[in-house]
Amino acid sequence: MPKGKKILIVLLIFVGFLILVFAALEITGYYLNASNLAFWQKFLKNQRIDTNAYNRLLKNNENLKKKMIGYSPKGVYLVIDTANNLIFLRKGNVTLRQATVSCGSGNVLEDLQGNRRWIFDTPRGEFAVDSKLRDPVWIKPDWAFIEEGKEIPPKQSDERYEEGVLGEYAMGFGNGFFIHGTLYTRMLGRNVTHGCIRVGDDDLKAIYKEATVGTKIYIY
Amino acid sequence: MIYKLVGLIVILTISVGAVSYVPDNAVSYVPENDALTAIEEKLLLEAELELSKKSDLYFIFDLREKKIQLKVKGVLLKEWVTESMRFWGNPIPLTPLPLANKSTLYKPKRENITPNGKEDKKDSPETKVQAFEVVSMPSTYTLIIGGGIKISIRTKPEDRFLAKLANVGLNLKWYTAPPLLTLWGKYKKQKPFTLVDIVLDKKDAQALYWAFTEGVECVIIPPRDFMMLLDFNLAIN
Repeated sequence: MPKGKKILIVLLIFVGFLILVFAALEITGYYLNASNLAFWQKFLKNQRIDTNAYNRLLKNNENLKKKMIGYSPKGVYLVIDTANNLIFLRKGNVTLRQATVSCGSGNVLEDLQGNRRWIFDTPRGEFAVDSKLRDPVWIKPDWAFIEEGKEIPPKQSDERYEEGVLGEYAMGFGNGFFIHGTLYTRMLGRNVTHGCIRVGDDDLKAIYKEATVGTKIYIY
Repeated sequence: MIYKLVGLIVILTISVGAVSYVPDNAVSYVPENDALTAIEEKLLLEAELELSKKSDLYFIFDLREKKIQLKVKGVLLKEWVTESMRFWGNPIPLTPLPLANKSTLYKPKRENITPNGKEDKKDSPETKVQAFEVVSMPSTYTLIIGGGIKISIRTKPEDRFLAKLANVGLNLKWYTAPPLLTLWGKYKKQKPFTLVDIVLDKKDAQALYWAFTEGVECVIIPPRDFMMLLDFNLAIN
């Protein structure tokens, strides 16, 4: 038999052996998984509940449902979808108003010395309206000057106060974050803010009218 | 006389015992399906109540109804419908589980702002927005959940040859890798693991990645044949 043919046969036998080992390992893995699942299914099937225990269980479930309802917001609340830049004014499961907004850009700013760093995300979770302002004045924080490449003025400096940029209304929800108006209406629907939520004039007016201090805000 | 008295007592004792004895099959039991439904409902409500006490967002992976819900305080914020799913490994308990990590090949990067005063020009039509937006999020990734659970999220393959080829590769991986991992885990006496593979619409997959922040908790409602009930007596009481 030629040497080349011999090598080919040995190689084929070796590959065949590898395939067999692989198949055996695969079958064993499948078997182990199936037997584990069968164990848990058997465990579930072997349990029995008598009618009294079942009725107690149903009653308990009703109580748990009532407790759940107790946690849900009372009255109107706001839901903000930061991915799609939408705000919803809701009551129960009904959406009373929906509007396009601008949420945080998620961009990062560092001061020139590299001592401070800001990530412009809109915070997520449960919040509540803690202040309502008409004709709000923006008190510019340090990052606003750093972003514009300007010197940071002292805390009480007039340079920090800017009128008109936040629209006619603003609602604070903690840590310097606000739902407010905007001059940049073309950017509604995009993530461009420093974490606040910018809303168009008409929608902002409607939301401002419905929301009170304490109104829940859910941001995701 | 004394024999008669003892005899009477013996007969009475046996009679009372016979009357008070209720055979096991005389107690009425609830059909298995109804009982399990009630237990599942209880476990789910308890898990959700625990999560609702906090102010954080949480997810419900309802694999039975093929939907993923984002909630807070019991309020449904968003719902995504899954296109298909499959499971491997250990059954899943109905308890709150934390998201340990998100793993993806290409992690989206945040833009660094160069201070130059461009804020003033942001409303001009030619301004390019540099932002960390949902469209920059990956659509194929793995959510690593506590308790050894990994949820792979992917999208339906696009109508391109390479995308279809990649999908064949993913399917091949799904059918060959888990059995070997199970065997290896058994050999090394590691904790059992669970793999869930979910196919979503591309936009939904990106939005889910966006919403799934690290540390967020979730409850997974698995199909019944994939459910783990750790303590039956605890569950019914």
